[in-house]
Amino acid sequence: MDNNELKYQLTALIDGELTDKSTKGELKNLLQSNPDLQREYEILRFTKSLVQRNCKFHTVPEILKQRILKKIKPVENALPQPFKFLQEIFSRPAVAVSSALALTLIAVVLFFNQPSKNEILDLASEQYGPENMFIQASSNFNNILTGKLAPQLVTDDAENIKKFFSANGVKYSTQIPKCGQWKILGAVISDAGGEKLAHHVYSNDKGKLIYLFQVEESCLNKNELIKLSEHMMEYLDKGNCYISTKGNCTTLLKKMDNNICAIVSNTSESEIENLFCSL
Amino acid sequence: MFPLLLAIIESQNELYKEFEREALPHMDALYNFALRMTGDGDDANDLVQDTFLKAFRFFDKFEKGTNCKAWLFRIMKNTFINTYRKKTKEPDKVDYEEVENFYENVKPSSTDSAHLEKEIYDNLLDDEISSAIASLPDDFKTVIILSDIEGFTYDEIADFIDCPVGTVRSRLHRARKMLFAKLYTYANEKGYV
Repeated sequence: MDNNELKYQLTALIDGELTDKSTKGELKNLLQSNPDLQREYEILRFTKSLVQRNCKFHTVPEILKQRILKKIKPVENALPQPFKFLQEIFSRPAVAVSSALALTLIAVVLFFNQPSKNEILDLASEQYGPENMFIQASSNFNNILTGKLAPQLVTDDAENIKKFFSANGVKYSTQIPKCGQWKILGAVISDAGGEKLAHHVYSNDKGKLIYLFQVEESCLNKNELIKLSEHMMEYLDKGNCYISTKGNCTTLLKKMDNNICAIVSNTSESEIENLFCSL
Repeated sequence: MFPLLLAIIESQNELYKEFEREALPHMDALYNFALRMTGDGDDANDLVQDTFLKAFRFFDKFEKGTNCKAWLFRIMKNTFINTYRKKTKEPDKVDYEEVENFYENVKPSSTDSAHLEKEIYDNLLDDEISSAIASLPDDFKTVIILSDIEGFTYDEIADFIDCPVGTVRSRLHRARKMLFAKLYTYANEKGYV
């Protein structure tokens, strides 16, 4: 064993990686008889222990963890319930055929009306940071269009939706405005850092959708994941309506009572503006 | 259409659950490594995020029963090399012969570990030790972090750096000597020696 190899074996001995018993024995004997080697051994061992003892093990920030989880989850946290709902439908022969036909028709109509995901994201990223309410609303709307996000509660009754929100952890009072000929389709509750948030969907007889995501203002401001810029909040606080259209997808931000609402739709910008900006 | 859609979504959901079980427990270890390799919190966040998004995208290629942590670290290494190393400041170039000569001339008054600590290193701050590690060339910094902070075995490090185990051993040996020399210099400058 040459001198360098001998020293490298010292490192392996320190790390518990020297498995050959004879080499280990030989090395230990050498250590006792060779002060230079002994000194090298002590310094290397000391350096290792110093790093182990003094270098803090950093844990991943919770906000980063949540951001990553959010990006890789196939659908929102509430996914299992829509699944159950759909599975239940298909497991009942009496309603399976009619339900399947109705849902297929809706899906076909939605398919021909969906905007591209990139268009939505481009629009959002031009305006805001990566995780806010605006982005989430666009992303959720896209998930509804592509079938990745289905209503947890299917009903056309506004009161049922309010009860559903209240019974499932949404802590703030919610608004389910009437929208002319548009019918309420259902509702979803999502989770952002432990806070339950309210979403509901309308449809019309042309197969268009309106998706409304609402969060109470103080709750929104406290939630780092979804909050909007101060400038935007000031703008909405004054009663203004922020509206932005890209492709055939319109996103509108509006304050209703104490709630900030993000509304996304594939109907015309003027219709969305007429429906919500005067509320 | 919907049963088919459900089947696809359910399969995605199962994949996610498996990813959550296999990969997510290693997020802290990856973040810690990212932070030490980039030396910057924002870059570390981006590196961890890019790594996990790539890992999830290719998770169906991951061979079940093999070492998931090592697989994730390999993805992080490639992402780091391709993206972040270009951005980060090159660490100080070190002439190893110079370090070896310097190291040989450093003669603490005692080789006893307790004495070494009391004499010099007890006064060094954790940040100074972290800075000394950060200033090592990437190849040496990598093995120190993986071995002494992340607790990797030589086999795992060899797999990570694509080198034989013998190279891991010699590189680790040299890395610790370099680090000791740097710490000695710090201590000397601070007047602890």
